[in-house]
Amino acid sequence: MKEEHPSLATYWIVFAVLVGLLVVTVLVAEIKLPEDWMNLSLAMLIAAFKAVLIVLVFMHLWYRTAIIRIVAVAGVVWAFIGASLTLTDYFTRGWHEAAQPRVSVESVDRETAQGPRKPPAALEPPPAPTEGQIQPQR
Amino acid sequence: MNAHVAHHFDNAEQQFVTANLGMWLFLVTEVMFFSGLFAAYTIYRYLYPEAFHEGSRHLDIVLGTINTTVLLLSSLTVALSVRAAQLNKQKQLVWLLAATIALGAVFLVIKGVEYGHKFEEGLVPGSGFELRHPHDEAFASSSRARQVELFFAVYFAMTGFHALHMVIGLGIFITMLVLAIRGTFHSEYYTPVEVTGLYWHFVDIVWVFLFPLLYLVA
Repeated sequence: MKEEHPSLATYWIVFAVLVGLLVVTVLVAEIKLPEDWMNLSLAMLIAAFKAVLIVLVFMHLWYRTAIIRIVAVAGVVWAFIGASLTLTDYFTRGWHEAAQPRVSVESVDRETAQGPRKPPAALEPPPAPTEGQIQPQR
Repeated sequence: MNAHVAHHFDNAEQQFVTANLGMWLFLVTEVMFFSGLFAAYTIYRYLYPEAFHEGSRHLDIVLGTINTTVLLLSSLTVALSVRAAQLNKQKQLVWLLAATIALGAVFLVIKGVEYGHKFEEGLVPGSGFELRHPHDEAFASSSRARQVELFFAVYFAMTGFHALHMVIGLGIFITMLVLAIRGTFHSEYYTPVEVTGLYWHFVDIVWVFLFPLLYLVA
């Protein structure tokens, strides 16, 4: 057990950075970025950075032998492989199209209670051409 | 040969590394377990993004932030308790282990208070689930309400399994505290404190991801 250890200052600095990043995460969530996925990506990026800090310093992986590092990295890699394959399956089942119809969920509920729905927009005849527009050649 | 080295190990260092490797292997299985829950979260959030926004609005960001801080602080006390053992600071080790247990208990109490609010508000999935909308009488029976119920099913599954890990961790830390009071650990033998710490930090990391995914969607 003669390997080096993190110093007292290192532990406190890591803790301060973790709390700082927590504050950043909460504040960033309040700001509305142009797209929803941007907020999510940013939050996950910060969380991943916090996780790496905890793993390397608090869990001493930085100071451990290669075999333990390989096990730790392999665990994350295999979790990604498993999750990716699972998600490619679920995301290609067409559930999203079924769950997110063009009309809002509430109006579907009301319409189905009242009677048949309107045909989807694609089946309706195209709008009559207005004057001034370039007409396709026949 | 030291008395704390089992006969099938060459020396104390080999024993220490082996115990660490075993704990890391267990944590890999834990990563697999939680990645299944995270995959379920991803699928349902992808299917019903608005319902996840709506459900997230019913969670208390202040209590969630306090709890995250409490957990991060407990990770610090765990890291410092390993250091105290390495430096033969017996009294400090006992106090830091006790502080960790106290912080873990605070986390679970706050979590319990949050769960209590969800029960009062009728946000627990099942026959008692009742999501009211101030301007829409029919909302409680709409499919949107069912989707928000799904968010809360995911919420209770993920935070529930996390809390279960906390309870188990507290049990192990109480054992560590008793052993530390008896003077079992010193600079040449602190492996149980170290590997219990690994487990605790892992549970902390799970929460680091859970907090923004559940509380900060809206």
